[in-house]
Amino acid sequence: MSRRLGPDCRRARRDLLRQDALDAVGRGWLELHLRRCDECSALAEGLARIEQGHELPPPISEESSLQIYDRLIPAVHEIAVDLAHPPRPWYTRRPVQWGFGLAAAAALLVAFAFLGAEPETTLPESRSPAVAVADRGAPTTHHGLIDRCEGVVVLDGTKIGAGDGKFEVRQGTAIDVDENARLAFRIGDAARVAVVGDTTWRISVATDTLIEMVLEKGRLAVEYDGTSGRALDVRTPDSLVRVRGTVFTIEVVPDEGTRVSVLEGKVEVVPRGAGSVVELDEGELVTMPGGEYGPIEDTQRALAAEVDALDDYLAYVGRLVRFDGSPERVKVEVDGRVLGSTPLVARLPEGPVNYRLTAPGMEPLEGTLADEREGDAIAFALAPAPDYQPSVALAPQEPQLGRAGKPAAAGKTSPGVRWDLFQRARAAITAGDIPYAAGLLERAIEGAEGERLVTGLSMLAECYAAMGRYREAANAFDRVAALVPGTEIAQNSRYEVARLSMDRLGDFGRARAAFTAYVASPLGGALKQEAYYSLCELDAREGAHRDALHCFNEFLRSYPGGRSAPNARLWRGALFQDVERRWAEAERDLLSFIQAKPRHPRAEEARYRVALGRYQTGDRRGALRALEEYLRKHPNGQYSVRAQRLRQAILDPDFSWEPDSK
Amino acid sequence: MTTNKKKGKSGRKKSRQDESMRVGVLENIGTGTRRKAKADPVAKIVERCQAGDPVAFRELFDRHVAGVHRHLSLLIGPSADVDDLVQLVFLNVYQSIGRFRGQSAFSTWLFRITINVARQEIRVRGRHRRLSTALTEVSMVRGTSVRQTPENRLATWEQVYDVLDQLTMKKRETFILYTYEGYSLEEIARLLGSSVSTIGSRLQSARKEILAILGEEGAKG
Repeated sequence: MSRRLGPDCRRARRDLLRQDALDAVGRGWLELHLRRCDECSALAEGLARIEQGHELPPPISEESSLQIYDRLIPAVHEIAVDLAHPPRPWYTRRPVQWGFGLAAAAALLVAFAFLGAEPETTLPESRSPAVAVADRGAPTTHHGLIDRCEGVVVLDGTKIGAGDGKFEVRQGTAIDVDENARLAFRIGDAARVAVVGDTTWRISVATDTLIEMVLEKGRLAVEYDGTSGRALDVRTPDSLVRVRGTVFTIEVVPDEGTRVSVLEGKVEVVPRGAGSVVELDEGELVTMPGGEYGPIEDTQRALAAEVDALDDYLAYVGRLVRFDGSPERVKVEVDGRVLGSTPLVARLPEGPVNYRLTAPGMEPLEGTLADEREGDAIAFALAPAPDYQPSVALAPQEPQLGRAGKPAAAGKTSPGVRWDLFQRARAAITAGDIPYAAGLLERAIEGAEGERLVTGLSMLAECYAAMGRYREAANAFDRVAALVPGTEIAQNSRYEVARLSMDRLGDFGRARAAFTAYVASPLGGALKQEAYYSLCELDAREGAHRDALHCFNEFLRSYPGGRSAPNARLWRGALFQDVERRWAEAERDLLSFIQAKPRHPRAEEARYRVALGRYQTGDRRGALRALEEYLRKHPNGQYSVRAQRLRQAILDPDFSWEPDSK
Repeated sequence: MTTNKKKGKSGRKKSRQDESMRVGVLENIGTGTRRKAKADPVAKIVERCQAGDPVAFRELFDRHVAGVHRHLSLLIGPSADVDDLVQLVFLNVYQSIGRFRGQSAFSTWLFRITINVARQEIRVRGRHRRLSTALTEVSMVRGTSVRQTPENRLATWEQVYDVLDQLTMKKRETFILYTYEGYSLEEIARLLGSSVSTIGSRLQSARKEILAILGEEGAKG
């Protein structure tokens, strides 16, 4: 169990991490503390020992070096012989010469017809004009192992459930990934593959020496171990990507072509038609068939992280479990890491893990998974968040008023007088004298009950809100919601409480409770979308940026064309920039917002952010265009000084400018 | 007790001064253009090696074997297999030197091959050790009655790596390259294809984690 540290120890541990930045006073204080505190001193000693490396490994001796070289020589000789007399290559590039090409094609067809070529090893995809196929060996089956599956993914015609996550990777194995789904899996020990969102993928060749994948549409990332002795090729509609050990991504972009990027290692991209072979080094991106080079963007890094993300946490040897239940798209966190949204199949590390399931408007579910085995399903049903508790105490139940003719209790308003007060209050509201109307209503609701009390309180709450007495307005709406639970009136009142708390009172806790109650209520309501949006906005305003980003992502999945969708895109764009530095995705969201709401007050911020994002990705010309537009539309805007400085920084490289997020 | 700051700094300075142990010519890391590479004497040896001159390969081997060995020893920790991995690195070099186009310094290219071999090794071997064996070992060590002070807990190279093994691969690489190899943040960023700020925060985070690991073990020991 962790013990709570004293303030001095906490400071000392912070200082230990930034010793180089400490001034003399800070160093003196730290030294003094380390003399007094054994525990911190031991930690400092340990850190120093690790930083010094204790005893660095001895340099290699001349004898070892000679031994390595001696062992190297036979293998080097073999490679040299292979290089001098290369074996028959997998592919032979031929220049496109139509006359010769047609003759060769005819000869090939005749040869195939006579020899009865094996269809299993030479698929139609492989017979592009530029690439002829040699013998690739007999078909074989590799072992596939699923690490994570989010959303609807179909493997060989069957929707993926948990199971043991094992499948056969052989010629014809096909995977279809839905729009909001993703799948990460391994092929033996040779490759890790992630296919993401609206993707169709299949294996066209699987032999001992070659795996060939076909990406018909969509996006994939691969980490491939070239030392396994197998070659890996990926075919897209317009290119062939040859891989010999690397981390790379491929995206088939409609109306654009194939975008290939290399994060590690090197690949070769062969265009399907005419055109030269492109060699792609680490950090490079090319779009085929045009062959335009460009820098890798965050989109590709994020895609590549799909195969890399497993490194940090998910284990090779863990068990595969399935999370599924109601409602849909519940956020799954395991040991504090977001794994994705349900339905989700994920490989968890060995040993007990803590999980947390959350969804807006629902009571979070937490627990520990210890005994689950491979293939188990974690079924759950999140309960709606507890019923909304009004933050004001209700007035004690008034005694039933007597029938007409009987005197009213002392201090209470008789029904006749109440009726009169209501009529006068309505007239005052119509005339615009809100304070007078509020006074009349305060008297009218004294002793009122039932429908009249609800109506009076609602009118009074509106009056308070109009007068700027927001807390009293929120309290009155709270009372209305509590008087008629389970009705549409209660729902609307909760929404008003939430909005007032969020926008006027800054009471985010009360706002969150009210919005959550609104979203969770089975009654639904016309403002459910707005309430959901507001919950996301609350996360953003409270500084829980990652939660906010996840929330806006989910919101836009649920309401992609909703009324609040443009605003959600603005928020998400800003969060992409500030939290994840995903400039390209941020720009898409920001431009979409500007297009939808060009005159919105925050369109100014969006325009500035577009320029900033382009500057950060090195697109200086684009940034300049965006800045000119910003300065033209908002010459005296709140970002105009920053925009001018950024413009100056672009035009004058010597100008010192510190980029900030806004 | 001398302050830990002094110890840490002097250790790092010593490591930084040990230039001869580094792989090749480090001043060209990641910045070497084709023209620069040709001016470099190593570039001529590489060209001869690409032409199939066996003597040139031997020269490359002699020049770089110590650095590769040191890199691997530091990256994967104490292991009897380092010699095998060195051999694997040079086999990869020989096999693919024809594709080396001189766009970066040879030392950078060699470093990337080295780090890829190290990563493969760590993935295959380290993962299992980290997930299963390490826990057992630590609990066995904790089970002893002797209080685990840094002096006895981190007395050997193996014990230091027991701590480093608990870091993620990226943090571990960054920490080792900065602390033991003496590279600057800019050099590491170029070598690992990342930004300086990312490397900086990764390093800080690695140190924080090390402190947390030591704290946890100290509390339990």
